[in-house]
Amino acid sequence: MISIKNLTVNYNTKQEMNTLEKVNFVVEKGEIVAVIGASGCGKSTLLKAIGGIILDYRGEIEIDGLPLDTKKNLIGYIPQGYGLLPWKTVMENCLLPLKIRKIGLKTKNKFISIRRVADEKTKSLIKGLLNELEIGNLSKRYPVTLSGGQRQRVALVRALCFSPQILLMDEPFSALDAIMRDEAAEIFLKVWKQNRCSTILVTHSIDEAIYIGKKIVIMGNSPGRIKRIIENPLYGDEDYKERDNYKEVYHLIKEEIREVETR
Amino acid sequence: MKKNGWMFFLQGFLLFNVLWFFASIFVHSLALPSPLEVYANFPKVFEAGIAMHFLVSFKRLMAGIIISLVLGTIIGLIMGESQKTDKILNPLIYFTYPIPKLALLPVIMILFGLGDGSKVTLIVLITIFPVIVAVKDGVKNIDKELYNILQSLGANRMQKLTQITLPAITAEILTSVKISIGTALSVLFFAENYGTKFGLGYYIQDSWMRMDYISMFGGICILATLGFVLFAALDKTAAHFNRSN
Repeated sequence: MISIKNLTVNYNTKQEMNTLEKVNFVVEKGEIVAVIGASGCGKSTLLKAIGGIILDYRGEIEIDGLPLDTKKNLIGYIPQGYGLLPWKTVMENCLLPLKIRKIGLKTKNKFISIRRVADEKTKSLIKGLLNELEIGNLSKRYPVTLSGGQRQRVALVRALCFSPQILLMDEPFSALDAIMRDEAAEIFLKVWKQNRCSTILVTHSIDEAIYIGKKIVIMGNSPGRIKRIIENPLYGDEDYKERDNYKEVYHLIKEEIREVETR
Repeated sequence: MKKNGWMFFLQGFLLFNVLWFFASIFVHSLALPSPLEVYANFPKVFEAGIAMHFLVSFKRLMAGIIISLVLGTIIGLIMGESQKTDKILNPLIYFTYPIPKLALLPVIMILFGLGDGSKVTLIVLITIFPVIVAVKDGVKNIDKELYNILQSLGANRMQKLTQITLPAITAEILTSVKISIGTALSVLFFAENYGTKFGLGYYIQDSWMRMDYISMFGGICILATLGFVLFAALDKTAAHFNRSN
């Protein structure tokens, strides 16, 4: 469970403004919350605060009832652009969280040098995930040789392979073209269901929010704050677009966002 | 440097020798013997102990490069990380970069002696500036999202350095050294002119004084080989680290 109480961020650098004012919401265990809003409303800032990247905030961020601690909590974070290390292969990229946290590894004594490599269980877990996402044959490739959709899947495996408590995704599907986006969202849900970690998805696509978010948090800007939280009746429904209330939900969200923009 | 690389090398080598050959016929002077004569003289050059001269030069060059790499990387990292240090040191680097370091030889000789100390110091002075600049700029160009990922995983500073910073800038560092190899070799050639009886520079200049031009060219070939091998090795290693970008 992630609970956010009165989160206020006033962290401005030369390049970007990051402001949030008194943000409150809860992500229940095993639930996906979609955060949607116009650009510049602080969606990414919110995610970075929960991910322990922005440390300069007021208010509380609690994971399973305890204050956020990146050294104790296991957080899977997928930034915009996926953040794959270009000098590491797909497999090496996936092993990065395990190496940082020193979990799922065994010591391999290769003559004199002692290297730490993934143990059998981890290796098969990663291979399984890669195969499931149909990129099992790419494990020795470098990110630059992959398509956008493949990179997105690698980032997903990397964020899930150490069984994180929470998963944070910053517009993971927005760089993909329309057809691949639907497929990617579908595959994501399939893989996510295997361990159902509490997840926050930041998006600017209303459809994505309706399909993936159990709750939809609508944010407004200057300063970034929550406008409305809706319980999504269409969550996880593959044919959500054909349901009677789809239009109703869609317009509800759209109106809220538009109101924010014209304010 | 796969098959194409070797073809590339061979092409350059052959063309160079053809040009050399015709130049020697055209100039027709003892000072420019034909490549055939020079290569035929190689056994004599090896008998004279060129291997030892090679090793001594190689040792001096490597010592200089390694010191530059380590010191330059540390200075560059500090400048890249801390804006304060950058503000203080950057004008200094900018000012001292174009100063011909060879002109400082008298000072260096007095401070570091006539032995290897002054020779290695000269090489360090030549090669360290490009390393500092490459590291400093490289660090600034690293995608911040990469650090964010490690931050969210609770990584410590050392892990950020070894997992992100160093691998991200390795190719740039090696390229910067590669570019300054040629200058470093010329400086070494010059520095082996004094206070030593070993090294390729000494060998070449000694043959020159004895007017043994064919052996002198043998030495030049070996010196060129040293430069080429280092250049190619650095190029290849840099490409290995850069394959991803």
